[in-house]
Amino acid sequence: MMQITCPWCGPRDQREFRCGGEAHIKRPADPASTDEAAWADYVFMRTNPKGTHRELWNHVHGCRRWFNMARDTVSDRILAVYAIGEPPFDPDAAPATSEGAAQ
Amino acid sequence: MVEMDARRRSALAPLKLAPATADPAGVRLSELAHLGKVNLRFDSADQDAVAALEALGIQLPGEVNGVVAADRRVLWLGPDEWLIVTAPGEEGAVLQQASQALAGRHHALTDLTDNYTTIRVAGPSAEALLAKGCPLDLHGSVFPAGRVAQSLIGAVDMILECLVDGAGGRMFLIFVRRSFAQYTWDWLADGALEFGLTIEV
Repeated sequence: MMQITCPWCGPRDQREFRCGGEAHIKRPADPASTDEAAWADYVFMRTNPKGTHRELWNHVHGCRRWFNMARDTVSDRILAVYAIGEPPFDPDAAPATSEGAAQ
Repeated sequence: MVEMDARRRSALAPLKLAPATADPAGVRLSELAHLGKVNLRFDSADQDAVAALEALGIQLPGEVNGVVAADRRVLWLGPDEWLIVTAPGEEGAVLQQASQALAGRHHALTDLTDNYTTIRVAGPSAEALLAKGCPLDLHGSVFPAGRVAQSLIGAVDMILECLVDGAGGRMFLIFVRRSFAQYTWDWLADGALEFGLTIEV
Protein backbone atom coordinates (compact mmCIF):
# COMPACT_ATOMS: atom_id res chain seq x y z
CA MET A 1 0.00 0.00 0.00
CA MET A 2 1.02 3.57 -0.61
CA GLN A 3 0.45 6.68 1.42
CA ILE A 4 -0.49 9.47 -0.97
CA THR A 5 -0.29 13.14 -0.07
CA CYS A 6 -3.44 14.78 -1.39
CA PRO A 7 -2.59 18.38 -2.32
CA TRP A 8 -5.66 19.51 -0.33
CA CYS A 9 -6.12 17.01 2.52
CA GLY A 10 -2.56 15.90 3.27
CA PRO A 11 -1.25 12.36 3.66
CA ARG A 12 -3.93 9.70 3.33
CA ASP A 13 -4.16 5.98 2.72
CA GLN A 14 -4.19 4.71 -0.87
CA ARG A 15 -7.66 3.18 -0.24
CA GLU A 16 -9.14 6.68 -0.43
CA PHE A 17 -7.84 7.27 -3.98
CA ARG A 18 -8.51 6.07 -7.50
CA CYS A 19 -6.02 6.28 -10.35
CA GLY A 20 -7.33 7.90 -13.53
CA GLY A 21 -4.60 6.67 -15.87
CA GLU A 22 -1.87 8.56 -17.66
CA ALA A 23 -1.90 12.37 -17.32
CA HIS A 24 -1.20 15.07 -19.89
CA ILE A 25 -3.05 13.32 -22.74
CA LYS A 26 -4.06 16.12 -25.11
CA ARG A 27 -7.25 15.92 -27.16
CA PRO A 28 -6.68 16.72 -30.85
CA ALA A 29 -7.15 20.47 -31.22
CA ASP A 30 -9.05 20.25 -34.50
CA PRO A 31 -11.28 17.14 -34.44
CA ALA A 32 -12.57 17.66 -38.00
CA SER A 33 -9.15 17.37 -39.59
CA THR A 34 -7.81 14.61 -37.32
CA ASP A 35 -7.31 11.27 -39.07
CA GLU A 36 -8.19 7.86 -37.61
CA ALA A 37 -4.63 6.98 -36.65
CA ALA A 38 -4.33 10.17 -34.58
CA TRP A 39 -7.69 9.50 -32.91
CA ALA A 40 -6.68 5.93 -32.09
CA ASP A 41 -3.44 7.25 -30.63
CA TYR A 42 -5.35 9.75 -28.48
CA VAL A 43 -7.96 7.28 -27.28
CA PHE A 44 -6.02 4.05 -26.83
CA MET A 45 -2.26 4.44 -26.88
CA ARG A 46 -0.42 5.00 -23.57
CA THR A 47 3.27 5.07 -22.78
CA ASN A 48 3.36 2.37 -20.03
CA PRO A 49 6.93 3.22 -19.01
CA LYS A 50 9.27 1.40 -16.68
CA GLY A 51 10.28 4.27 -14.43
CA THR A 52 8.73 7.71 -14.05
CA HIS A 53 5.02 7.75 -14.91
CA ARG A 54 2.78 10.84 -14.74
CA GLU A 55 -0.72 9.92 -13.65
CA LEU A 56 -4.10 11.43 -12.85
CA TRP A 57 -5.42 10.61 -9.40
CA ASN A 58 -8.71 11.39 -7.70
CA HIS A 59 -9.21 11.62 -3.94
CA VAL A 60 -12.51 9.86 -4.47
CA HIS A 61 -13.35 9.00 -0.84
CA GLY A 62 -12.05 12.35 0.44
CA CYS A 63 -12.29 15.79 -1.14
CA ARG A 64 -13.06 14.31 -4.61
CA ARG A 65 -10.49 16.58 -6.32
CA TRP A 66 -8.32 15.46 -9.24
CA PHE A 67 -4.57 16.03 -9.23
CA ASN A 68 -1.44 14.91 -11.05
CA MET A 69 1.10 12.58 -9.53
CA ALA A 70 4.47 11.35 -10.79
CA ARG A 71 5.26 7.82 -9.63
CA ASP A 72 8.13 5.46 -10.29
CA THR A 73 6.49 2.29 -11.63
CA VAL A 74 9.40 0.13 -10.45
CA SER A 75 9.68 1.26 -6.82
CA ASP A 76 6.22 2.85 -6.35
CA ARG A 77 8.07 5.88 -5.00
CA ILE A 78 5.97 9.02 -5.39
CA LEU A 79 8.16 11.67 -7.01
CA ALA A 80 5.76 14.62 -7.06
CA VAL A 81 2.17 15.63 -6.49
CA TYR A 82 1.06 18.67 -8.47
CA ALA A 83 -2.07 20.48 -9.62
CA ILE A 84 -4.09 19.90 -12.75
CA GLY A 85 -2.89 22.35 -15.42
CA GLU A 86 0.71 22.44 -14.26
CA PRO A 87 3.39 21.34 -16.74
CA PRO A 88 4.32 17.64 -16.76
CA PHE A 89 6.72 16.64 -13.99
CA ASP A 90 10.29 16.43 -15.24
CA PRO A 91 12.39 13.99 -13.13
CA ASP A 92 15.64 15.59 -14.33
CA ALA A 93 14.57 19.10 -13.30
CA ALA A 94 13.15 18.47 -9.81
CA PRO A 95 14.61 16.68 -6.80
CA ALA A 96 12.59 13.68 -5.61
CA THR A 97 10.45 14.35 -2.55
CA SER A 98 10.58 11.97 0.35
CA GLU A 99 7.05 12.99 1.35
CA GLY A 100 4.44 10.52 0.18
CA ALA A 101 7.02 7.90 -0.72
CA ALA A 102 5.93 4.29 -0.84
CA GLN A 103 5.50 2.87 2.63
CA MET B 1 -37.14 25.68 17.26
CA VAL B 2 -38.93 25.06 13.99
CA GLU B 3 -41.98 22.79 13.90
CA MET B 4 -41.16 19.56 12.13
CA ASP B 5 -43.45 17.37 10.09
CA ALA B 6 -44.54 14.56 12.43
CA ARG B 7 -44.33 12.08 9.54
CA ARG B 8 -40.59 12.59 9.25
CA ARG B 9 -38.61 9.43 10.05
CA SER B 10 -34.95 9.23 10.88
CA ALA B 11 -32.67 7.06 8.74
CA LEU B 12 -32.29 4.57 11.59
CA ALA B 13 -35.98 4.43 12.57
CA PRO B 14 -36.42 1.03 10.80
CA LEU B 15 -33.93 -0.52 13.26
CA LYS B 16 -36.33 0.28 16.16
CA LEU B 17 -33.34 0.96 18.41
CA ALA B 18 -33.86 0.37 22.12
CA PRO B 19 -31.70 1.82 24.87
CA ALA B 20 -29.02 -0.56 26.10
CA THR B 21 -26.54 -0.16 28.90
CA ALA B 22 -23.20 -1.88 29.31
CA ASP B 23 -20.95 -1.64 32.33
CA PRO B 24 -18.32 -0.52 31.70
CA ALA B 25 -19.43 1.22 28.49
CA GLY B 26 -16.40 1.44 26.22
CA VAL B 27 -18.53 2.90 23.45
CA ARG B 28 -21.73 4.93 23.52
CA LEU B 29 -23.67 5.12 20.24
CA SER B 30 -26.59 7.36 19.36
CA GLU B 31 -28.21 8.83 16.29
CA LEU B 32 -28.49 12.62 16.02
CA ALA B 33 -31.44 12.64 13.66
CA HIS B 34 -32.49 15.54 11.43
CA LEU B 35 -29.53 17.87 12.05
CA GLY B 36 -29.72 20.56 9.36
CA LYS B 37 -27.02 20.09 6.72
CA VAL B 38 -26.34 22.45 3.84
CA ASN B 39 -23.53 21.96 1.35
CA LEU B 40 -21.94 25.24 0.26
CA ARG B 41 -19.67 25.73 -2.73
CA PHE B 42 -18.21 29.02 -3.89
CA ASP B 43 -14.88 30.76 -4.39
CA SER B 44 -13.71 31.91 -0.94
CA ALA B 45 -11.21 34.32 -2.53
CA ASP B 46 -14.28 36.57 -2.87
CA GLN B 47 -13.89 38.56 0.39
CA ASP B 48 -17.24 40.33 0.05
CA ALA B 49 -19.03 36.99 -0.14
CA VAL B 50 -17.10 35.67 2.86
CA ALA B 51 -18.09 38.78 4.85
CA ALA B 52 -21.73 38.45 3.80
CA LEU B 53 -21.78 34.85 5.05
CA GLU B 54 -20.05 35.83 8.29
CA ALA B 55 -22.85 38.31 8.95
CA LEU B 56 -25.20 35.31 8.90
CA GLY B 57 -23.12 33.44 11.48
CA ILE B 58 -21.52 31.27 8.80
CA GLN B 59 -17.79 31.58 9.36
CA LEU B 60 -15.47 29.55 7.16
CA PRO B 61 -12.68 27.58 8.86
CA GLY B 62 -9.32 29.15 8.10
CA GLU B 63 -7.52 25.85 7.82
CA VAL B 64 -7.81 22.66 5.84
CA ASN B 65 -9.87 19.96 7.63
CA GLY B 66 -10.96 22.60 10.16
CA VAL B 67 -14.30 23.27 11.83
CA VAL B 68 -15.80 26.52 13.11
CA ALA B 69 -17.92 25.65 16.13
CA ALA B 70 -20.99 27.88 16.36
CA ASP B 71 -24.77 27.61 16.14
CA ARG B 72 -24.14 27.24 12.43
CA ARG B 73 -21.16 24.89 12.47
CA VAL B 74 -19.04 24.95 9.31
CA LEU B 75 -17.01 21.88 8.28
CA TRP B 76 -14.23 22.06 5.68
CA LEU B 77 -14.81 19.54 2.86
CA GLY B 78 -12.60 20.84 0.06
CA PRO B 79 -10.88 23.97 -1.27
CA ASP B 80 -14.23 25.39 -2.41
CA GLU B 81 -16.66 23.23 -0.45
CA TRP B 82 -18.07 23.30 3.09
CA LEU B 83 -20.86 21.66 5.07
CA ILE B 84 -22.98 23.90 7.29
CA VAL B 85 -24.50 21.94 10.19
CA THR B 86 -27.41 23.45 12.14
CA ALA B 87 -29.98 22.49 14.74
CA PRO B 88 -32.87 20.41 13.34
CA GLY B 89 -35.22 22.54 11.25
CA GLU B 90 -32.85 25.49 10.80
CA GLU B 91 -31.57 24.43 7.37
CA GLY B 92 -34.35 26.28 5.54
CA ALA B 93 -33.31 29.61 7.05
CA VAL B 94 -29.64 28.96 6.23
CA LEU B 95 -30.48 28.11 2.62
CA GLN B 96 -32.64 31.17 2.15
CA GLN B 97 -30.29 33.66 3.85
CA ALA B 98 -27.12 32.28 2.29
CA SER B 99 -28.56 32.22 -1.22
CA GLN B 100 -29.57 35.87 -0.75
CA ALA B 101 -26.07 36.73 0.46
CA LEU B 102 -24.49 35.00 -2.54
CA ALA B 103 -27.02 36.16 -5.13
CA GLY B 104 -25.36 37.06 -8.43
CA ARG B 105 -22.23 35.08 -7.58
CA HIS B 106 -21.20 31.70 -8.90
CA HIS B 107 -22.14 29.35 -6.06
CA ALA B 108 -24.11 26.24 -5.09
CA LEU B 109 -26.17 25.68 -1.96
CA THR B 110 -27.64 22.21 -1.56
CA ASP B 111 -29.89 20.96 1.24
CA LEU B 112 -28.42 17.61 2.35
CA THR B 113 -30.38 17.37 5.61
CA ASP B 114 -32.12 14.16 4.64
CA ASN B 115 -29.27 12.88 2.46
CA TYR B 116 -27.09 12.29 5.52
CA THR B 117 -27.74 11.09 9.01
CA THR B 118 -25.39 11.57 11.93
CA ILE B 119 -24.18 8.89 14.33
CA ARG B 120 -22.39 9.93 17.50
CA VAL B 121 -19.61 7.63 18.74
CA ALA B 122 -18.48 8.44 22.26
CA GLY B 123 -16.78 6.66 25.13
CA PRO B 124 -13.18 5.73 26.01
CA SER B 125 -12.95 3.10 23.22
CA ALA B 126 -14.48 5.23 20.44
CA GLU B 127 -11.11 5.73 18.73
CA ALA B 128 -10.27 2.02 18.94
CA LEU B 129 -13.64 1.16 17.39
CA LEU B 130 -13.23 3.55 14.45
CA ALA B 131 -9.66 2.40 13.88
CA LYS B 132 -11.01 -1.05 12.97
CA GLY B 133 -12.35 0.25 9.67
CA CYS B 134 -11.06 3.75 9.00
CA PRO B 135 -7.69 4.44 7.32
CA LEU B 136 -7.26 7.84 9.00
CA ASP B 137 -4.72 8.44 11.74
CA LEU B 138 -7.16 9.06 14.60
CA HIS B 139 -4.61 9.69 17.35
CA GLY B 140 -5.42 12.76 19.43
CA SER B 141 -2.20 14.48 18.35
CA VAL B 142 -3.23 14.25 14.67
CA PHE B 143 -7.01 14.36 14.82
CA PRO B 144 -7.98 16.43 17.88
CA ALA B 145 -11.37 17.96 18.64
CA GLY B 146 -12.24 20.60 16.06
CA ARG B 147 -11.05 18.60 13.07
CA VAL B 148 -13.02 17.04 10.23
CA ALA B 149 -12.04 14.61 7.48
CA GLN B 150 -13.73 12.71 4.70
CA SER B 151 -12.75 9.09 4.57
CA LEU B 152 -14.10 5.54 4.80
CA ILE B 153 -15.76 3.62 7.61
CA GLY B 154 -16.02 -0.05 6.74
CA ALA B 155 -17.03 0.04 3.09
CA VAL B 156 -18.77 3.42 2.95
CA ASP B 157 -17.84 7.08 2.59
CA MET B 158 -18.22 9.25 5.64
CA ILE B 159 -17.54 12.71 6.97
CA LEU B 160 -15.88 12.33 10.37
CA GLU B 161 -15.87 15.19 12.85
CA CYS B 162 -14.08 15.17 16.18
CA LEU B 163 -15.62 17.03 19.14
CA VAL B 164 -14.78 17.62 22.78
CA ASP B 165 -16.44 15.15 25.16
CA GLY B 166 -16.23 16.05 28.82
CA ALA B 167 -12.89 16.99 30.36
CA GLY B 168 -10.22 16.46 27.72
CA GLY B 169 -12.06 13.56 26.07
CA ARG B 170 -13.05 13.25 22.43
CA MET B 171 -16.14 11.99 20.67
CA PHE B 172 -16.85 11.56 16.98
CA LEU B 173 -19.72 12.44 14.69
CA ILE B 174 -20.07 10.27 11.59
CA PHE B 175 -22.10 11.69 8.71
CA VAL B 176 -23.12 8.91 6.31
CA ARG B 177 -25.58 8.81 3.46
CA ARG B 178 -29.04 7.73 4.49
CA SER B 179 -29.03 4.50 2.48
CA PHE B 180 -25.81 3.42 4.23
CA ALA B 181 -26.98 4.39 7.71
CA GLN B 182 -28.22 0.97 8.82
CA TYR B 183 -25.06 -0.73 7.52
CA THR B 184 -22.91 1.80 9.36
CA TRP B 185 -24.85 1.43 12.60
CA ASP B 186 -24.66 -2.39 12.46
CA TRP B 187 -20.94 -2.22 11.67
CA LEU B 188 -20.32 0.09 14.65
CA ALA B 189 -22.55 -1.87 17.03
CA ASP B 190 -20.88 -5.14 16.08
CA GLY B 191 -17.40 -3.70 16.44
CA ALA B 192 -18.27 -2.15 19.80
CA LEU B 193 -19.40 -5.39 21.47
CA GLU B 194 -15.93 -6.21 22.78
CA PHE B 195 -15.66 -2.79 24.45
CA GLY B 196 -19.13 -2.79 26.03
CA LEU B 197 -21.86 -1.02 24.05
CA THR B 198 -24.31 1.50 25.43
CA ILE B 199 -27.04 2.68 23.06
CA GLU B 200 -28.59 6.06 23.79
CA VAL B 201 -31.96 6.70 22.14
